[in-house]
Amino acid sequence: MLVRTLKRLADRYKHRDSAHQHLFEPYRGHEVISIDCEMTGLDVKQDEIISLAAVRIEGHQIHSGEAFEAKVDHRDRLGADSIVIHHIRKMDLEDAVPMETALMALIEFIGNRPILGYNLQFDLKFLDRYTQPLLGLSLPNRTIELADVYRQKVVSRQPDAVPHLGFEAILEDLDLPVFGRHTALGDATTVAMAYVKLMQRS
Amino acid sequence: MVSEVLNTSIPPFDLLSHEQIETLQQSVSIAYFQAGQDIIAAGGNPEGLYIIIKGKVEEYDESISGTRDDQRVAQYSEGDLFGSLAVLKGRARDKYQAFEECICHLVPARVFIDLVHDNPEFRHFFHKGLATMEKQRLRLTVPQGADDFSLVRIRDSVLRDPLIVAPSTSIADVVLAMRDAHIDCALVECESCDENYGLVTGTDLLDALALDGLARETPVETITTRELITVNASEFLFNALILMTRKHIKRVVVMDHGEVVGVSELTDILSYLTGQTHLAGVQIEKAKTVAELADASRALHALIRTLNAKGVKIRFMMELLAALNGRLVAKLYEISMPSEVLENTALTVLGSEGRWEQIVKTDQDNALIIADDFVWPDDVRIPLLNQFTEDLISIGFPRCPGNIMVSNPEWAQTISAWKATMTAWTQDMSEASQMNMAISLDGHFVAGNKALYQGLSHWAHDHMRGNDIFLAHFAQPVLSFGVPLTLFGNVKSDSQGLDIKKAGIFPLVHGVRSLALKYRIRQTNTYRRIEELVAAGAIHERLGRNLESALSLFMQLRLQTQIEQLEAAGTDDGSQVTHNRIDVTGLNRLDRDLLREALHVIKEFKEWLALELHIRG
Repeated sequence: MLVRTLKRLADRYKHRDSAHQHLFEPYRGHEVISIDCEMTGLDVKQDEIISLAAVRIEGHQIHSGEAFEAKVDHRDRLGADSIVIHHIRKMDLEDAVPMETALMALIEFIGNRPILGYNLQFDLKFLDRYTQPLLGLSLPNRTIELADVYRQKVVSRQPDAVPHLGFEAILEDLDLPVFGRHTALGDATTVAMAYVKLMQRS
Repeated sequence: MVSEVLNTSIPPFDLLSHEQIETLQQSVSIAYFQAGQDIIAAGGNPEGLYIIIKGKVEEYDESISGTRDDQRVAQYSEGDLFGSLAVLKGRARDKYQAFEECICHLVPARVFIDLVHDNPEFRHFFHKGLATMEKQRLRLTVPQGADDFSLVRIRDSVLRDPLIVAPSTSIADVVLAMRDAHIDCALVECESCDENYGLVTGTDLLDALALDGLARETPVETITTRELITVNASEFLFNALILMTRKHIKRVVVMDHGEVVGVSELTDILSYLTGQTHLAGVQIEKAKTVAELADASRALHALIRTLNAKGVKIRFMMELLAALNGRLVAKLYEISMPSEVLENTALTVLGSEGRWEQIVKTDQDNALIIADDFVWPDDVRIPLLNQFTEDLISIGFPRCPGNIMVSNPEWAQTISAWKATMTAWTQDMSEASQMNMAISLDGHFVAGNKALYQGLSHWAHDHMRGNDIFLAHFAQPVLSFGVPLTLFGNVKSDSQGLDIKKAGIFPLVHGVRSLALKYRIRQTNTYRRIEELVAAGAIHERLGRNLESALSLFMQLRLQTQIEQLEAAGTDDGSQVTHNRIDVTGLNRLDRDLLREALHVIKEFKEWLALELHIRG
């Protein structure tokens, strides 16, 4: 986290006059953006993001209808071979856009609002790998980790509890319906739902 | 797993265009509510239309004085829509509260209003009327491409070209012509007949040759039946079938604009309807023994399943099954009783059988009217009637738990004795007497001497005339069970389901029966009573239509449950159908909507009836 904070300060200085300056403005509203990325694998250095989704949370409401969702086509950067290397199927590329387009749209969607995710740092590491060369920044937004929120809520209720922080375990404990699992939008929506429930509980 | 997008393949969203669906999907959000949280406040301006993904919501009318339970007007569960009326009116009359943790899709008010404004069909859906919703339901339940059998007309289905012969044709030539035409009857030209034709059937020809010893050269006019039983070509197939069953005939002559256009054979109709050549009606008529009748009776269960699966309208099914069951009972009586008994008695079926509203045979209710001057010694009568009741049980009419059967001397009386009994019932006003009266008023003649039945029936209706005090008492039980507008109740305690008989069927049937009595309507079938009440101006047309729709829905849901129960028990024995409970949670959303609406109809009907008949709850 400290590293991220330092990075943010450095990026902010660097972008003080750029088009992305607004991303560094402190956010004063109450909305949160739940994001999720699907990758070809778990290796931050080798694997690729194949889809991105983000959904806006406003109080008890999740604006799923106007959600952001993009499939990424890497052929422009990596060549057509990436399809073989990363086992990206043809169908995954229908309606897909280049990474730069997807990233710019995602950043536009998020603005300076806080971002929420499960195991968010992992997704952010992937995103950094693209944002740094393309834009010269890491996403500067405040981050909210669902597992942290969950742990705090559980501990505040039962101080001795050692909560299971696995995604499935959290969902099961919260007894929530699971939205389209293993799609970026489905997972982003599920995480949003869990967050809304946890925040309303207190 | 649920979807983050709204399922637009289900009504009413399937009425929207592609662009409208796109607009809708982009505006939908997902909302979370804790148990007890207000989703729409009474008097508030709702955010939009809600569609429940998970959880239950209750609607309260806080203008009703009384407890929370009194104020609760509806309950909604997964897949249900609520808030539409509040959005369209711009203000919520009732309060909507999350009964348990709730997750809903939310269509913003402005988007919903635009869709309602732009799409007339979509708008129509939200102008909730039971009849409209029923159409929606039909759209769903009748499989695509399948005919709605209850709407098939004779002209389009089973019309055969008639074989027409001159009156002077010899019997032998008619037989040959019939064989060539593969038809079992011929129309005989006949100027003096009403329809310009008479009819001769294969059986007539056989009887003439084999039994009456007529010569092969005899002109056919000597054995022609001059009075034809006709139907119009535009008549529903089902009505022709019911007519044939009631008159136990095997064919009808089909007319169009006063001209004979053909004949329809029972076998053709049954094959057309069931897609199988097993002929329930024919089997009953052919039966000579109790065992054969039992076979015919069992075959009816297959017929019920087929008709139900084909989406045949419940009202037609009830009439058809009533006609077939009526013939079963009549046939058994005819083969069991000596001719002097048939001439001096009238067998009557009562209750739901008499109203033609029993599909699965769940019990037998019957009574016997005996001529006053008929000498029928106990030692002859008692064993004969006991045997008849036992035989009815063995052919599939379960024993009546209330012992309303001819084997019970209280239900097998002479005309004078019946008059004394009924007079006592109307004066006594005990609950049992009133129910006996109610059951008897639904009586329908099935076998024996019809004049005996008609005489007593006339007397009974005259006797009741103007007896308002009795009427008020008689109708009282309509109010005795509350209408469970909260379909799901407390889910745990109501796991047995909704008692559809207490909640809906009984108040409706008995209320209509009471009105029929007041307005001297002699029909026994509830639909026909309603039609005549509307015609007499006793009830408003809209209420009449709603009552008919509600009754059909209750009957349909009950039949579904009964069929499932029988299948689970692996039997066709109707006595195994042990309850009238409907698993509400197992219904699809549209059926739940309909049920909710139908129960509201019952509630309004009860309130109206209480004023109309001066009864208090």
